[in-house]
Parts: sequence; C-alpha cells; structure tokens
Amino acid sequence: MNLNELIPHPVLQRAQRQARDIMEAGLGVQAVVLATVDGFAVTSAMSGATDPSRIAALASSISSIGSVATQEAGLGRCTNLILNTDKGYAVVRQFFIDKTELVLIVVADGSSLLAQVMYQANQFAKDVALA
Amino acid sequence: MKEHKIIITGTMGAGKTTAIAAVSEIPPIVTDVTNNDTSVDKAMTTVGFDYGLLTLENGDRIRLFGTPGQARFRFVWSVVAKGALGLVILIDNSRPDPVDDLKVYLEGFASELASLPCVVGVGRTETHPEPGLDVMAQALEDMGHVFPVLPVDVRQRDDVVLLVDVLLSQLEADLS
Amino acid sequence: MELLKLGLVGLPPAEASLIATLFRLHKVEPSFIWTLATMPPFDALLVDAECEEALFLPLKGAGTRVARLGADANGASDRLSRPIRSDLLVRWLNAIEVEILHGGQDQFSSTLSTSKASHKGDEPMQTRPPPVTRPAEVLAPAPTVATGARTFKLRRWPSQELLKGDVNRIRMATLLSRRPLQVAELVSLSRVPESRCVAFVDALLNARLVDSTDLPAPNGAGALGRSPAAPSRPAVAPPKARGVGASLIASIRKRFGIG
Repeated sequence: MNLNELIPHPVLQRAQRQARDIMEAGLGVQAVVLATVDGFAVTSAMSGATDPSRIAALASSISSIGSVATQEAGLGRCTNLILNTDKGYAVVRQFFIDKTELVLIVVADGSSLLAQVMYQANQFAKDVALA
Repeated sequence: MKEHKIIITGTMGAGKTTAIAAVSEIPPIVTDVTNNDTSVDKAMTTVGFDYGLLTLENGDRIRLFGTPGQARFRFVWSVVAKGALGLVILIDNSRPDPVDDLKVYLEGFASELASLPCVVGVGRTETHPEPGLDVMAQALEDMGHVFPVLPVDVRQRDDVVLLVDVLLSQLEADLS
Repeated sequence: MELLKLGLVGLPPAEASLIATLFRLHKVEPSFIWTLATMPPFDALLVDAECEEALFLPLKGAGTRVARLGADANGASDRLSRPIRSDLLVRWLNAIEVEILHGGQDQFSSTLSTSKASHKGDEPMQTRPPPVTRPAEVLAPAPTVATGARTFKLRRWPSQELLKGDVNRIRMATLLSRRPLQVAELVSLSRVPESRCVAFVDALLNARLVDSTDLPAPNGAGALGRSPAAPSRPAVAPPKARGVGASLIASIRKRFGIG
C-alpha cells in the first residue's frame, strides 16, 4: 500500500501531530491509531509496547462490523463506536479524507473522561480532514 | 433450536464470500471495505466476517462465517472458529506461493485443527495447475495433518456442497 | 426408495420395543431405508440365539439374511451380541443394504493384496441383482479383511489420479483420514460395497498412503465388533458433547441435497 497515494503528505503530517497531541494532553489516553478502512496503520502514537498494526486491524474490523450492524438495523451509516470495559474504553471513529475512508481508534484508561476523549477524536477527524 | 457454524477461511480473493453466497439461503452479510493493498488486484476485501445462513428442517441453523484472509486479522479467526463444526480453507492456486498461503492458515488455526474437521479447497487449478494438489497434500503431511484436498470452483454450488459433504464425513467418522 | 424389511423372531418384548425405538430414531436420516415388518418377505431376520431354526425357516426367503442375537457374537458376521447396540445393529443392516442394493458378490476374494498388481479401478455399480438362493450355512463368517483383522489409516491425501473424481472414493478417503478403520466400518460409514472398499484400500496400500495395523486376538472384535481405540487426541469435547450427532449430520446433508 502506498500511503502517499492515499493521503497527501501535509495531511499525514497533521495527523501525526494530532495523534501525539492527544497522547500528551494528559487525558489518560494510551493509544491513538489512524488506520485505513482495510486495517493498515497510517500513523500512531502509543504509550506502551502494543503493536499499532494490530490495533489498526482491530479498529477496521470493529468499524466494519459496526457499520454492518447499523445498516442492518436501518440506522444508516455508523460514525462512532464506543467500547466500554472495566479498565477504560476505546472510541472508534470513521471519517473521510476526500474520498478515502479512515478509521481512528483512541484507547483510554479509567482515569479519562469519555466525553473528553470523544471530543478529541471528533476534533482529530475535523482537523485532519481540513488539512 | 440449535445453532451450528461452519467457517470458511483462506487467502484474499480465494472466494470465501462467493462460496457462502453459493449456498446461503439469505443474501450474505459482508463486511467488505475498499482494498488499499496494491499487491492484490481486488477492489474490496473482508475485514470483519461474512455471514450466511441455512435453516434445517427441525429449525436448527447452520451459520456460515467467512473470515478475513489476511494474517493481520488473525485475531478474528480464533474468535469466529470457536465451537465450529468444521473449517474450509480456500486457496487460490494463482497466487505466488499457495503452499505458503496454506501454511499460514494451518498455523493460524493450529489449536482448532487439533480436532476440528477441515477440508482444503484449491481454486483456479484449471488455469494454474501448479503447484499440484499432491504438493499441497505433501505439505499437509509434513505439518502432521491429513486433510482432504480438492479442486474447487466456488462459483459452482456443487463444488461448495462437496466441501461441506467432506466435513460431514469427518464428523461421521468421529462419531462412531 | 424401496424400504428394506427387518423381521424379529423370538426376541423378548422389551428388546423388540427397543429395536422399534431405534428404528424410529434412525428414520430421521434420509439414508436409513429399513423398516420393521411382521409379514414376509423379509430382507433380514434378527432371531433370538435360543430360537429353533424350524420357527424362522418358513419366514426366510431366498435372499433373507439372518443374524442371531445372543450372549456373545464372537466376531461372527451372522451374530449380534446382547445388550443390543444401535451402532452395531445399523452396521449389520448397512452391510446387508449395500449387498442387496449395490450387487454384493457371491464369491469374493477377501485377502487384501499388498502386491504391486495394477488395479484398473472399481467394478461399476450394479443394479439390484436377482435373488440368490442361499442356504443358511452359506452365511459364513465374513472374509479375513471384513472380520476386522486390520485397520487402515490414511497417511496422506491421495492423488487425483487415484481418486478419479469419484465422490465415493473421496468419501472413503475422508473417512480413512480421520481415524483407523476396519473395512467393515468403512463399508458401513461410506455405504460403498465391500468389494469397492477393499479395492480402494488396496490401491492406497500400493501407493503407500495408508498405515495398516493388525488388531489383537479377537475378543469380540469382528466384522461387527468395535474397532481398536483411536490414537489419543487432544482433549476437546467429542462431537456428541458439542451437540453433533448422526441426525444433525443427516439433516445437514438433506438440507444441502447430498445423497
């Protein structure tokens, strides 16, 4: 896969900065991974040793299953998925850059506020799409 | 009413979704997305799982699950394969190294294949006869497996049904 | 499909009732074509071991197969042991069915050859032959292979040349790939005539694709006996524990339209 063909370089740089900023904002975020819809990692910021390519594949799977579920339920296109766990949560956000569909996953621990993480994910999508 | 499942896995482009569509009584539910992997000439690829369904006379249901083929989605394989009746591995013989492809799935489903019935269906053998099915059989033997290896065209319902029949024969042998 | 008829002679009512129940259970399988009958002609008779011949000879037709139900079968193909077992009863009935419907041979060379003699493939399937007059003594113990002297386990999947695209051969190879089987078990599971099973196993032996193991001295293991314990496998719930039984398999086959 040729990333440059999918995503313009300035956009990629912007996405890398945004991912790092979210990680460093002190929100309890453990990982930020931007992935292609078929599971390739575009950019990432991680605090642990987790493999971002694994998270990217996971995000694309969850996102696609969510999309199918909402369509089967007649609810239209899925834009957000939230996975609540006993140790934190993950927010999965789908969005487009031009015609390229991407999936963002933000993984946060229990010290974070869901609303804040969702806000950051939405801002990421807006800023990167506009870059 | 009981639910059972048959899993279909295999390389991208081997025909997993097509195989399910050939026998499912409902239009398959697919989680296909745009393929960005330029090394494979395919517009779409499965990233979640495909789903088809068959209802038996007594109301029991057979769910058909197609897994994503790429190794990066390996985590889906074991989740989907849990409690399955059997596994179909579809191999595309036109790919650069079909034997290597087969090994990926034998390793990916290693714990399940210790007991799960399995059949290997090899596609595109008419246009790509090499490697031959005997090479596949030898590779299986080298890895300690003896699974049926059959040439298939998953666009043909009868070929897909034969794969299922072979899984059922293995279950029959296990029962007695 | 014409039903085959089994008659019961001299069995205690409870045993006859048990067999009737087993028949009702097996009827869900499309491939089970037997029915219990009270009037001749019978395709098979299951007779109590103590029952005098004079009592059932009048019921016996030219082609009627007879088995005695008693304490110990001792490996004989015309005997079943008490207590009656569903799998062994069905195995006996399947063997008769194959013989009747697929043209079993009267004279039958049973020694499984390990020579390199070429095989020209199986005999073609025959239509139902005319009834053959068989005195009861002709129902001798089945030939060596069928009495379960050896088991066979596929070591490697056969070539397409050996399988010849034949669904029956594919099914036999599949069964042999799963666990060691005696020829009698292979006949029963595959519903292929014994002669064709033997020919196929012979071909596999010649191609060095099967492992063959001699069974220990008979202790009730015969054509209708239990096969030796399969090699131990990792502890995973057996099919029955996962809700997989013969009726489910039959239902799935029926749903797919598999004969």
